[in-house]
Amino acid sequence: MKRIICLTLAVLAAVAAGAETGTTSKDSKTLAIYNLGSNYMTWKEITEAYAKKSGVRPTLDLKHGSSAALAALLAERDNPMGNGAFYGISIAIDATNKGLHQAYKPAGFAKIPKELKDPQGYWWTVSTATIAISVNTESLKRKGLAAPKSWADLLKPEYANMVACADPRWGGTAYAFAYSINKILGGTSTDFRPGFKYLKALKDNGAKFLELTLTQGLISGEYPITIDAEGNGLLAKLKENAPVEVIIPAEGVSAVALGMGLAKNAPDAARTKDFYDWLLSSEAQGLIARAFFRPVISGSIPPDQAKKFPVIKDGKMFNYDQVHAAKVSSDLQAAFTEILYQGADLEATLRAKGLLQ
Amino acid sequence: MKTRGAFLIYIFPAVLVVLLFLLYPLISLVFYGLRPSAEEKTILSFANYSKILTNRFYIKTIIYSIVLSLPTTIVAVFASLSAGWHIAEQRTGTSFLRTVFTFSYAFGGIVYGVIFVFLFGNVGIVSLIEGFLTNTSVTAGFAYTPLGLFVAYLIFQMPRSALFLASALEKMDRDIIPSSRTLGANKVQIFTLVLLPMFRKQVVSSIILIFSMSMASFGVALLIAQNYPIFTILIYQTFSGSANLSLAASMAIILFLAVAFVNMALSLFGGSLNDLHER
Repeated sequence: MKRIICLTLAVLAAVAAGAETGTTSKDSKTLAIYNLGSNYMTWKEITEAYAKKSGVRPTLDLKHGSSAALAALLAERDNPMGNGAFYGISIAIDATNKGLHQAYKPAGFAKIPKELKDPQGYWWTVSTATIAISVNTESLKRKGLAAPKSWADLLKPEYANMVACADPRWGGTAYAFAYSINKILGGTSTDFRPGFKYLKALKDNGAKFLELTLTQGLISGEYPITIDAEGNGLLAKLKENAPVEVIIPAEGVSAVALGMGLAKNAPDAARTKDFYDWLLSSEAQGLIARAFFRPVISGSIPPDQAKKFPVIKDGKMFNYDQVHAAKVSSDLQAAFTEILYQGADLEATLRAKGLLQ
Repeated sequence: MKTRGAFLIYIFPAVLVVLLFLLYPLISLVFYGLRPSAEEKTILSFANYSKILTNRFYIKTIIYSIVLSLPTTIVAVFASLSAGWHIAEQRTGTSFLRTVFTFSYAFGGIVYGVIFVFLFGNVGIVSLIEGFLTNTSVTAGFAYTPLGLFVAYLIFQMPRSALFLASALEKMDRDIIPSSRTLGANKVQIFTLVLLPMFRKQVVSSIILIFSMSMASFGVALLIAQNYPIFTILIYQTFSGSANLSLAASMAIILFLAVAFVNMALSLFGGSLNDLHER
């Protein structure tokens, strides 16, 4: 008997060690906000600037990934520990639909374009980012390769095993990519075949879908080609002098909107609201522009900074329908798993999920 | 009775920790997994379990996880036998080996993954050295191959296994070796007829323990296993990606049962975790 108990406990320990546990400190200096990635949009510098001003430090890298943040708020629904989160907006809309947010209109809310906020304030945008290809030029040179010029180029055998993208089941930017590549390649909201054919081909060519931010790997050359927000590549190139180029693919691009939501029954709503107000101030919006993300309030980009953003030709910016993207998110993520990882039939799966009508 | 009372005080912290951090989460996992979906009217629902057990992909992923963890564990335990023996014998370098091996506990799985990518990734140190010496790039990206995954698992399994074996072997009666030599046995005979039967329990017990750890391991696979399905990664994706908490909970219970089942089968070979601590 004793043997069995010991054996059982050891197995339990081993399994429990694999389960992720998270705790949030609630002292007066920190403010628990989910998914402020220190290497994403320079949240590290943005939160530092806020800490200097207010003495309150929002948490970094807690529940990293838009979908991870949503899952955390969902799990803590009855006893929330996080006060809110930063998301790709379609994930924020999904969280709103799941009843995880309370309405709040931060100072400056009126200046946000109508399509980039919820009229009641359940979610709103702080910045947008074009999803583009970033390449490590040194890695390509070592292999004697030219930089890819289009999405289609990434399927060529010479770029096999070189492409990395965040996992659309994990990150909001990657989800926006997985959704909008369909439209860029000729699909519609009732026909996701072009998008999924592309994603499947991308994976078959050795592309990695990772639960990580990609910037460090891009700089080191571990991931020579990334599909990511343009700002992360530009920052690596211009601020860290890494051998990085940002490429706007020939077929066109779309932009992901990124923003906030205030958690329902947030334990520290007052200080969270103050932080959210500040995020729309000219100071914070300017910092966002310095991180090469496009601030949501127009006129916030300093003129010298504006020139450094890549030019997107007319007609090459595809509209990203966030409300529809939010509506189909769980179906699209499930189709992604089944088609790319479980070898399910593309058309049958899309039809079953309502993504092909 | 006085000593008995003292004993209870001593074990109280351990019991509290077990209750709080093992039994409570496990019981809540069981309930999470049985939680009915919005459409179902029942109090408990086995829909999650039947979904997992009838879907070929989930079953395949569990089997793939076992197929990765069990052979690597067995190789790691046998390969670390000599190191474990070395430490148990207190030969030169014992304290150095012990210290280095103990480091392996300080690193979680993610750290191992990072180290492995650092060594064998697309721009890993090994591939840089190779490029510098021979101007080739055979090892670049080795971390992401199935063989790379195998080696990465071995790297975190071996030091742990060596330490477990050492503490078990230390308690064994090692005078038996000079005795059998005196009786005329040669080296091969000592190894096959004396040592191997003696080691059997310790080896099987180590395999059980390291296998349990490997099945629960997550960080290494998260960083390098892209096309190889691993069950812990699937649980993570179900939890944080699809935000399907009750399905993830029942998957964790199924993982636990699968590990327990394999461990019981292994213990038929004559070992249990007790043997690591008792004779």
